[in-house]
Amino acid sequence: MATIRLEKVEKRFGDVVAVAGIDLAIADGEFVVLVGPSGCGKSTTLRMVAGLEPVSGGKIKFDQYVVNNLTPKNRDIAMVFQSYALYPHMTVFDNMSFGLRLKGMGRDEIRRRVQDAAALLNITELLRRKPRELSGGQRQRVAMGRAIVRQPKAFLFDEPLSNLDASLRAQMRVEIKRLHKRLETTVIYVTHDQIEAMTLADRIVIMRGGQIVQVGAPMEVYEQPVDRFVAGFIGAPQMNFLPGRVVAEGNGLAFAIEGGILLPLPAARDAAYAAWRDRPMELGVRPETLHVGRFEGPDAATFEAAIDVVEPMGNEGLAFFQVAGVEVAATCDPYLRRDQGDRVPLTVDMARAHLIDVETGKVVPSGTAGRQAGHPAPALAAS
Amino acid sequence: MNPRAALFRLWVYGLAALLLVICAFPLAWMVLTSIKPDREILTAVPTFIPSELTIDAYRRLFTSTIFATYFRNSIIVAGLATLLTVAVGTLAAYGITRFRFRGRELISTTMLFTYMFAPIMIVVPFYILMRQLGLVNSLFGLVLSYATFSLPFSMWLLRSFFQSIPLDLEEAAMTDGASRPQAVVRVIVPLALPGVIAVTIFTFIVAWNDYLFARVLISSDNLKTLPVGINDIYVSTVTDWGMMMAAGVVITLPALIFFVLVQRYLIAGWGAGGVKG
Repeated sequence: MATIRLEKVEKRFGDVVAVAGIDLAIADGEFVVLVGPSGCGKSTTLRMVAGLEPVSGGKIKFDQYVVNNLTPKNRDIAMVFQSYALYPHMTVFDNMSFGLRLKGMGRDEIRRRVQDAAALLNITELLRRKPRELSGGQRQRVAMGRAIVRQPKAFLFDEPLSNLDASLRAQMRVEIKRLHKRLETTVIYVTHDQIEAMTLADRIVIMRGGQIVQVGAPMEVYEQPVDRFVAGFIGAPQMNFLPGRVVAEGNGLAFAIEGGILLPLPAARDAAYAAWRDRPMELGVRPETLHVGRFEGPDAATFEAAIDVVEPMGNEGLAFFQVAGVEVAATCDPYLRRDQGDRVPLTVDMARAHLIDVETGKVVPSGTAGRQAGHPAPALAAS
Repeated sequence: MNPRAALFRLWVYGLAALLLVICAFPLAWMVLTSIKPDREILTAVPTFIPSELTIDAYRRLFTSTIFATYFRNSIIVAGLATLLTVAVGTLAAYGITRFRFRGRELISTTMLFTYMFAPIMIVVPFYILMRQLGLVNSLFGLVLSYATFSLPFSMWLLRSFFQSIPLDLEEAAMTDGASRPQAVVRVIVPLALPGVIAVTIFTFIVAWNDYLFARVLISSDNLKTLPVGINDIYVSTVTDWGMMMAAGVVITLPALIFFVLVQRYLIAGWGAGGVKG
């Protein structure tokens, strides 16, 4: 168990900057997920923490100790690889006990620890098998078992679920979360899958181009993204970005979508948005806050658009539109039956929309945006 | 099995049997001749199966010549050359596949150039080099020369084995608490074992069978290896065919035993399954 601190950590490969001086403090027992598109530096960061990649600049600290110059062997961390990296010539038992045998631990203690971990992961009956006799999910468990038996200071996961099929991935996600609750060991988990990030993390670290863009609890980065990149990256289906500008409307402000649609902005945001009038902006609206139909609500705004495609998904439907030249997704009744080209009303919950400066890509702080924990979104009532 | 497949199988087995006879007959003849009484070796009508069995030829081989010394020298030289080649070849191949350094590609691509030259072309320069090092007429010089000769091929072979072992495995071992040498010895080498075995066999046989370098570099009788020693027996006495054949049998046996012992490790493929794909 340990806290992990990155201070101005940098990694350069020749002229290429892979990680550009990042700062991050991870609390003891915290589950932190590094997420971002490929090439964002998340895996490199993890490998630097593991000691597999030398640091080009800055410090990595475990508790108060700088570990920059320690080999992986001396860092007392355990890593789970995307490829599982099980030793093919060893049985599952030998794979799991490899690290303990290197430490010179006694036979009985080794057996006890391996049995315990195997029981925890439901792989007791696999202990005598070789990796090639295991399915992908079983290999994944063995790889985790190998990490658990060592009782390390921290677990490092490098895209551990990427090679599993969707249902197994969902199942393993739950198991990893359960394991963490039980073991309470610090975890750094790298993934490019925002769903894994949302479901597993205590805190999400979103990276891009070797830099940290935003750090926060899952719902915090979901509700209050700092920029267009985070807004688009977190959340599925992806947030819609409607081009337009902030204009004066009556006593307050409104967002004018290119092509003439006018959406009144919440009065509470007038002060925050006033300075952004008449500049090219985007309105970020999540599909789940944009509904097909006419609804009433404190900050509801309705406009019309021609329907393109409807995708029923069981519990709800997604309807797609072309608005101001961009594709827009909205939630709808999965039984919605409309022909292509039919004009239907669309209601936006403006209290949960984000104003984005096109020039910088930053989300303009509204002071009010988003839902706070314990405060459900105001329900939109059908009118 | 349908008749077509049966016929095909018959054909394959027939060919294999023919090949076996062609390869094995001289060996069988050698063994049989070595246990024949002398008078039966050179006769107008050759006998295939000896009328009586005798180990006289073997007794003569070990009593009237210093064959045992040659044998010992050969074991020493081939054994050390093999150890040296495997040790250096493994480390070199590991270095070339795992570390980046100036000249890495050049080394990899020029390794096999050494085989452009027939050994006879380099034996004289080699002799001069060895003389300058003071290693002429020593077993150690001979060990070095065999290692020089087998190393490039061994490195080349091991390199491809190492390249096929995912880096993840080594990194997993290191995060598991292994030092780099431990990771190499406990994870990488076991996985490259078929390659290591192939290199071992190759080097052992090169060193065991070499005549040229031993002839040129060794002058003392008591430092000679088997191929040179046997040749000397052949020219120095009235040709004793029984003894020659006995020598042939004894020189073949170690290589044969060695091969039988290690060949089962050559069966590759058990490395699959540790990493995905």
